[in-house]
Amino acid sequence: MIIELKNVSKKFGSLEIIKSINVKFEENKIYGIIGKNGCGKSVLLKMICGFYKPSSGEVLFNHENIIKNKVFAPDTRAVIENPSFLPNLTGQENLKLLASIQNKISDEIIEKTLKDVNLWDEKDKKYSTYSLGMKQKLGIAQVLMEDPTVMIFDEPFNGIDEESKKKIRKLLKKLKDKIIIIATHEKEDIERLTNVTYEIKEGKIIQKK
Amino acid sequence: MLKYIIDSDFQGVLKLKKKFLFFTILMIAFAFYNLKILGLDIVETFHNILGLNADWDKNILIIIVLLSHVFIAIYLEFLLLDKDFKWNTELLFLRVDLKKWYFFKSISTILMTSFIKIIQFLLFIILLQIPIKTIWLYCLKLLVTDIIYLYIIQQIAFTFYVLISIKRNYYIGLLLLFICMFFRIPINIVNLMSYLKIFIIITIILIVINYIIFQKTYISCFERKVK
Repeated sequence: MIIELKNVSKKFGSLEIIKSINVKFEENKIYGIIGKNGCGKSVLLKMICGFYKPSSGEVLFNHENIIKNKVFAPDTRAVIENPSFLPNLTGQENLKLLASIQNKISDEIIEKTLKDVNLWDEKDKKYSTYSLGMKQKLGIAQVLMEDPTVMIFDEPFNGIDEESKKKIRKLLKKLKDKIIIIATHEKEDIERLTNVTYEIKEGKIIQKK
Repeated sequence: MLKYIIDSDFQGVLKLKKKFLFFTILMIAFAFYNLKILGLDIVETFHNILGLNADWDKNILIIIVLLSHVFIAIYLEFLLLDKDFKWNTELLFLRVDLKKWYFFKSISTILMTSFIKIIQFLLFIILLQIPIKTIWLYCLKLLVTDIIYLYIIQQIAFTFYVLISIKRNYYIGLLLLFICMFFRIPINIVNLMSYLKIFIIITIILIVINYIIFQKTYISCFERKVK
């Protein structure tokens, strides 16, 4: 899998958030996207997912223009904003319900994923009782559980305890044949986790690492 | 996939339970007014509180009641759409394609509307002691007509939702258009029971037209909150 953004710009009204960026994402790499609040990180991630249409340029997955073909990012999972899990269901029930959409994975895999993100002990608690950190972990779990090729995380470690952060970082580093894109402010992610880091500044993208 | 959408939409409907309860209390108060103040019979009261026999030459209150049921149906439609486009985006749309989502969402919406209407009908059949054994077929036909009528309005609301997503300024124009339409469309649901088959055909046509529009403009729905 290869993701390409070719001369991609994005305007909202007269405000140009992203200015003609060219970037490629390849397998077996973890990409970091950094930048100030409001610089356009989430907008970029949503364009990659196919939720926002570039004002100009193309978003290509294996040379296929996803917007032109009216498809969303193939074989991709993401956690970009606070995902809207069902509050009256437990964490595990929420994941099972999501997994039932494509029916690709078993309950055992969901169980393993919950353990991987240190959420197994809270699996039977209703989502409405979850702390911010627990909600973040569940968001990460729904990305990981179906083993997609492309994984997109927007500030994934907000509110998560250090032990869980270390565990999830270790897990992400071990994954093979994946494209992992993480928008983050955490220095440790940039230094220890990512292979390539881009910074969005004044709408442009520059490679930092 | 249908299970996910139905469960998710049902949770959305349950969040409105306090508003529905308040509205039901108003309906009960209006029922009391019909029975005790106006001295109407139970069937006519049943029609009035559910907004089923409004007419331009009748009591304005009945038209207001119909409008409130229509408003709830439109509000529900917007809520169920917002829920997916604003809050459920990456959970849902990275797992399904547009066509499937649209098809299952259409089914789920009519199920949610039906659920609310069935509760309302049953509640007032019981409260007013409607002789259901003798007129069950009539009540059933009336219920189905009411659901389809509101669902047609929800399909029109869907078109408006998409158009407003493209350009927020369309909102005023569309509101005025809807008000004008309301003066032209039939509003007496009791009389419309004879045209149920035509209604079903109209519903299917609207679903297809909306899909064609939606397919070309779906991105606007995701970008809606940013504009």
